[in-house]
Order: sequence, then C-alpha cells, then structure tokens
Amino acid sequence: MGIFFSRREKGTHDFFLGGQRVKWWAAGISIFGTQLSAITFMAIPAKVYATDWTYILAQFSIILVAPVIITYFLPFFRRLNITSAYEFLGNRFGPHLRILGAVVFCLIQLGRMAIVLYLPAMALTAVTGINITLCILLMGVFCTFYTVLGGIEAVIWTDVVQVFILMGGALLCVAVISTQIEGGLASIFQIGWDEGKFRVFHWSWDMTTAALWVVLIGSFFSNLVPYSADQTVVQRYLTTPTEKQARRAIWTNAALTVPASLLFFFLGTALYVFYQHNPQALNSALKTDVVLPWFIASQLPAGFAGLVLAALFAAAMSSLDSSLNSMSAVLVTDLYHRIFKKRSDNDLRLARGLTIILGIIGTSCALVLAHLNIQSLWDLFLALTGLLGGSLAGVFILGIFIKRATRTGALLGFAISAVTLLLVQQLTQLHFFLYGLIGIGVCILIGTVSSLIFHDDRGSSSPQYLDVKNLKQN
Amino acid sequence: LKDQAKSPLIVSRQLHTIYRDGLLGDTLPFWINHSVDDTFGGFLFGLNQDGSVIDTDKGMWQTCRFVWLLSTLYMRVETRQEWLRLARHGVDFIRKYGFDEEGRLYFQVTREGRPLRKRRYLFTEAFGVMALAAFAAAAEDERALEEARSLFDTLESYITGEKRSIPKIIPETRDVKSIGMTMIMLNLCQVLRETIGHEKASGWIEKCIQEIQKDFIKPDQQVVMETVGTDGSVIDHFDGRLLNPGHAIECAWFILKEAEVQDRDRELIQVACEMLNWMLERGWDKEFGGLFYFRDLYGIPIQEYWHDMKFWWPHNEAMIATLLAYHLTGDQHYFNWHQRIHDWAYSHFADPEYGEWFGYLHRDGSVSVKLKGNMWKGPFHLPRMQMICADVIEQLLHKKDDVK
Repeated sequence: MGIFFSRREKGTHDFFLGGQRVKWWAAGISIFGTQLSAITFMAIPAKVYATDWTYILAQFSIILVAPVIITYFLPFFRRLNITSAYEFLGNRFGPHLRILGAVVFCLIQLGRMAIVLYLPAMALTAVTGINITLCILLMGVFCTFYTVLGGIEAVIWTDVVQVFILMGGALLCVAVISTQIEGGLASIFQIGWDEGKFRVFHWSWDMTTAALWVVLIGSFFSNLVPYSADQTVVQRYLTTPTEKQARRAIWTNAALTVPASLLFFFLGTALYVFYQHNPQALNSALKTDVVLPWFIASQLPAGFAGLVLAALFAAAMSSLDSSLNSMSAVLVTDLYHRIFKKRSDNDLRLARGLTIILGIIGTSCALVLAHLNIQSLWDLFLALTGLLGGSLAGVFILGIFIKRATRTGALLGFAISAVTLLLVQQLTQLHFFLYGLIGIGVCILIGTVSSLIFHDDRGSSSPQYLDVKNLKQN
Repeated sequence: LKDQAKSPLIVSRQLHTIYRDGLLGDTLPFWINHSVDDTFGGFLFGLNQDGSVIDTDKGMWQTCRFVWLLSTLYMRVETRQEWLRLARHGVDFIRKYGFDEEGRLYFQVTREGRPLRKRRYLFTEAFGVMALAAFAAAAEDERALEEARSLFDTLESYITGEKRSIPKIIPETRDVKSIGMTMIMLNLCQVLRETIGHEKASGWIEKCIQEIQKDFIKPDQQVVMETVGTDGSVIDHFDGRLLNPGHAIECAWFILKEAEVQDRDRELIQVACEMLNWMLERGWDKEFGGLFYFRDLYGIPIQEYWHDMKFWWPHNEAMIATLLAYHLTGDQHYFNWHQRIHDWAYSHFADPEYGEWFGYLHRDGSVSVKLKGNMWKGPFHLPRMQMICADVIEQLLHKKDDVK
C-alpha cells in the first residue's frame, strides 16, 4: 500500500493531506483506528474483566462530542486552508501560540510513540515468549517504511485494513468463548449479569471515583481534547475533498465507536466468564492486563491466534503511523516553514526524511524502554505532557468561542491551566477523567479574564478573531 | 552507638519521608499491583521477588490483615476510594469463602475459595475481627459491624474456655500457655476500641496486660517468656526455654501504645521499656547485626534450626517499639536503637530493584529466599511499621515545634 500510494506523492499537499482525495468513510475509520491503540485493545477488555461496564458511557460520549466538533471546530479547520491544526492558532493568536501548540503536540507524540510500541510488544513477549527487541523492530521498521513511502494516504488506508483485522479478531475471540461455555452467549450474559459485571451506573458524589457524573461530564471534555487539539485526528478532517465529507468522516468514527465499544466491553465480560469456568487455563504468573493476549495465545487455534496477534500489531501500527505522519506535518508546516520562511520543492523530501528520523527515534525509545528500567520515568513524562494536552484544547476553545480572547490571554490561560492541572494531579485524588474538564475550564476562565485586562495591540497585521461566517466553505 | 551527634529532629524529618513515601510509593503499590485476584476475588499473596504469583492458595491471615490495613489507611491517612474498594474486595472474599460451619475461619483456601486447612489456634479469627471491625468503621458498613461482633463472640468463647479446640500439648500431662494469644487479644481489643468501640475492649486490655505482667515477665532473669505453665512457671524444656525476641518486643509496643492512650501511664511505660531493653539485649546479634529469630533462656542450643536467621517482622516491630519508647520517654537511648535497627533493616531487607522487603535472611544478612509473600508474609508488618512510625514522628515533630 505504501508503494502504491508513493507514486501519487508529488508534494506535501499529497503527503500530509492525501491531495484531499480521501474517501470520507476511510477518513472516519482512520480516526477511529488512530484513537484506538493496541493499549486500548488490551486494556478495555482487561478493565471490564476486572471491574464492570462503568466506562462504557465514556466511550459513548463521542456521540455528544461529534456535533460540537462539526458545528464549531470543523469550519475553522477546513476554511482556513491549513495543514496543521496549530496553523489555526497562528492565524488567531500569532506565531507564539502556534509554535507552542506544535511543540506540545510533538512532546506528547514522542512519549506516545514509544509506549504504543513497547506495551503491546511486552504483552506479546509475556504470553508467547518471542523476543521483545525483534517485536519492536518489526513493528517500528515496517510502519516507518510504509508511512515514508505512501504518506497520509497509506496511513489512512492501512488504518482501514487494520481496523477490520482488529474488529475481526475481537469477534473471533467472542465466538470462540461462546462455543466453549455451555449455553453460549446467553449463558455469558446470564453469568455476567448475576455477578454484577454489567453494572454501568455508580451513584456517588465523590469526585475521586468513576461515579456516573464523573464519567459523563469528565469523558465529554476528555474526548473533546483529541478531537479539537490533536493533529493526528484533526489532520483527518482535512484529507477529504469537502467539509461535508469531513463531517461524515467524524460521524463515521462516532458510529463505529459505539458497536466497537460494545464488542470490546463484551469481550472483557466473556473472558471473565470463560476463566471463571476454566481456572486451570489461567496463567497465575501473568497479570490481568494481559488477559486478552494470553487468551489469544493459549486458547485460539494456531492460525487464528496468529491472525489475532496480528490484529494487536495492527492496532499498535495504526497509532504509530499517524504519530509519524502528523508529527512530520507539524514539524514541516509549523516549525520549518515558520523559521526558514520558505517553501520549496524539496519539502516532500524533507517530510520523508523527518518521518524516517522520527520512526528511528520512536523505535529506539521503545527499545530503551524495553531494556532499561525507566518505565516510571516515562510514565511521568507521559502524565505531564498529557496534562498539557488538556490546556492546549482550552486554547483552541478560547480561539473559537471567545471573541475578545487575545494572545496574552491565551498564553496566560494555557500556563495557569497547565500549572493547575499539575497541582491537581500531584495533590488531589480527583479521578483522572476530570482532568480534561479542569484543563479546559481553567484555561477558558483565566484566558477570558486576562484578555480583558491585557489588550493586545490590534493593528491591521496582528491576528484577531476570525468569524466563521466570513470564511468561504470549500 | 555512633549517631548520638545527630539531632533526632533532623533525622526525624528524613525518617518521616522514608516511612510515608515508602508506604504510599512502594509497599502499597507493590501489593495493590500484584496481589489482587480479578477472577476469583480476594488476594494472591504467594509472590516472587518481582511480584509474580508463585502460589495461588490464599492465606486468610494475610487476607484479613490486608483488609485491616486498607481500612485503617482509609481512616487515618487519606480517604482514597481505591483503598476502600480493595478492602471491600477482600471482605467479599472472606464472607464468601472464609467461614466454616462453626463460624470459625479457615487458615488457607484454594484460589477459587475451596477450604484447605483449618488451625487449632485462633489467630485467623483474631485477624478476621480486626479486618471486619476496621472495614465496618471505614465503610460505615452495618453488616460488617455485626459480623465483627459475632466473630469476636466466637473467639471469646474459645478464650474463656467455654468452647474448646484441640490443644497442642496434652494438658493433663503438661499444661502450658503461650504469650501469643494474650498479645493478639490485647492488640485486637485496641483495634476494636478505636474502630467500633466494643464495650468489652477495655476490660480485656486490662486483663491481658495483667496476665503478661504476672505470668510472662520475669524481672529476676530480665526476660519476657514465650511459653510458660498456666501458673506462669518456667518449663525447662526446648519449648519452654525458647524465647522469641521479636514477639516480646511487639508485645512491648502494644503496652507502650496502651500507656499512651492512658495519659502516658508511667508504670506501663516502665514495664514496656524494661521488656524492650531486655529483649533487645537478648535478641540483637552483636556480631552481624540484626535480631535473631529465637534465643534460649539459658543460652544452650535450641531445637529450631532456623533460630539464627533474620526475619523481617521482628525488625518492623522493634522499630515501632523503640520509636514509641523514645516518644514516651524522650530518652535518646531508644532513638539510637531505632536508628540502629532502621539502618540494618533498610540495608538488608529492602529490595531496591522490585520494591517491598525480603522476608528471610541468613544470619550474616544475605538473602535466604527472595520471595515477597507467602502464607506468613504479606502486606502487614512492614506497612504497619511505616504507617505507625510516620504517625509517631509527626507527633514528635509537632511536640518539638511547640517547645520552640
């Protein structure tokens, strides 16, 4: 696929936006595949296995987020004719915020690249005994290869294939379990129900637990973060021919999330019922986190097991390829063009070169993680950059909704929101679901108030509020 | 003792960090990350050095103790929902699989909860009451309160002799008693008093301390006995001469705790400090450092051939006892002892690689078995020491600040 699409790549417009030729349904599936990493593929069934269905509502909240994104965010991203989401920040608040956004994004993705490779590789190593270095190298090199050649089109179309493999793998697991349990699916429902495994609502006002309101409100804002401020997602909105098609892509993702969540959650319950009935099949040396790969490796017939483990690889790669291409997009458009102030025919070569370098960095970081005992350090890095993501989403909302928001206001809003989140994370026991709400909330509040206090110079050349109505739809 | 120059105030601040951070950042995460059984409930405590499961049988001692620890932390340190949730996870397992038809607790069950072993002793029941009482208080759970009271009644009926379990030694030939049951009753009633306020707690506490003073403490020989005749007489046999310094020192801090509750009762402090001094003197290995597991009353050979190993828990108990003794007397002597035991324990038992502590060392301090958990070792002595010592140091620092 990489080679096929490589013939079409004439410049960065092709490499990053697929020449805006991408079909809406493919873009939608690709958003879904990017958001769903191998970690989620393993973690959701494991979490449901250990607890219940509490988090299903968090998955469904995308249905509430989608219309907000389509109505308020998408027109800006589409009509400004941009490649990177942070170009919007540049248009609205000036170059400082654009660079800030781009740098924050790259830091988050750097941390993420290593972890999306390392965790599934570790799980595979735990259950099959294959060499972890080989595992990481295979995924890293292969993924970099097709991303370099085929650009975003290769990324999107491989995502589509990978999502089908992934869903097929999950379905296959459920099917196998239901043949092994007496009474099949009905019996899994019955036992799960009797043991309270399907519980969704937790009534409590406590802000440290996954109580209903924490899940509902928290997940709305947490979900808003990637769909508004994360280039790996936003870039997809820009690859379709028209805004209308982009809207359909966003709905495709939402429509896919619902049945996929139901499937992954049910797989968790099914695994629980399976091991309740087959305690001897459980490997007590392994933790619940890897219950799914363990099931795949030990219970599925060899051919199928290979296929489903391939699904796990697929999930990892559909996240990694997006990180590679989007980071390269941000580095070229937000940093290189800004700093050297030129565009040239060599941009495509630059983009490809950067993708190779980023692929090498990501793979090396995953290898370092696998061989040195630094995971807690890495977790800390991920937690910190993750907090910045919430604040960054706050800046996008400021730019779109608050007419009076100024550059200084946005900068202060971002800074204070980031510090607040850090303090909240360090000093309180608040459920992490609420971090998005706090990051966005503080950023809007501080950003608005300080914009009123610090008026920027509103000269003709300085950036200012953009009214969607004045932007031409394309 | 070399460290006399160092101010306890400065050292205390460092110690506080070591205990509190060790508890919340190392000991608890180790057990929370590795022991929870998501499939069959309860906890898997047979853990290797890295936390991987090496045995799936479930010890009820440790299950009850973990519930007690989590509930107590919830009440005394932070109201973390995660702790309460795990405590409930443990209580559910105890309720489902812990009890036999007589209302006593099993000692060991399989992973799925099928019973394997029951013991004569009533220690499991005592830990069970502690767990249910602490959980009842933390979760404000009426059912657990009733269960705690009813299990306490069962326990009491055996202790008062109303019900009998098969004795270890045939009493018609030689009638003996061990300090263990008296100690645990003392500690259990202290827990009951601070959790659900049982009306019989104070009476039992007083009775237990009296019995320890009357029958187990021998001032003329400067010793706390482990096993004596029912009349308190020394039994000149292997079992009778066997001393367990760690156990006696643990008993000393139960009494120190009581002295503190009773407005720093001077007589109790003196009794406990003597127990502590004698048994530190008898138990401390002057050649390699650390506390011996067993000693002989007269210094003649012991039947138990693991007598000179260094177990983790006597060190935890001695750290609590010495710190409490310093807190209650202000005598630098105890602070120096605390430091000395702390330094030896942290440099030999702690596992910097995977966290938590090794449990079993050779006499010279080298590791004998690398496991972190089994039927006897679990999330109890180490985290309890860290929790109590951090608490005591907080009080010490406040006191010092007030003086200034």
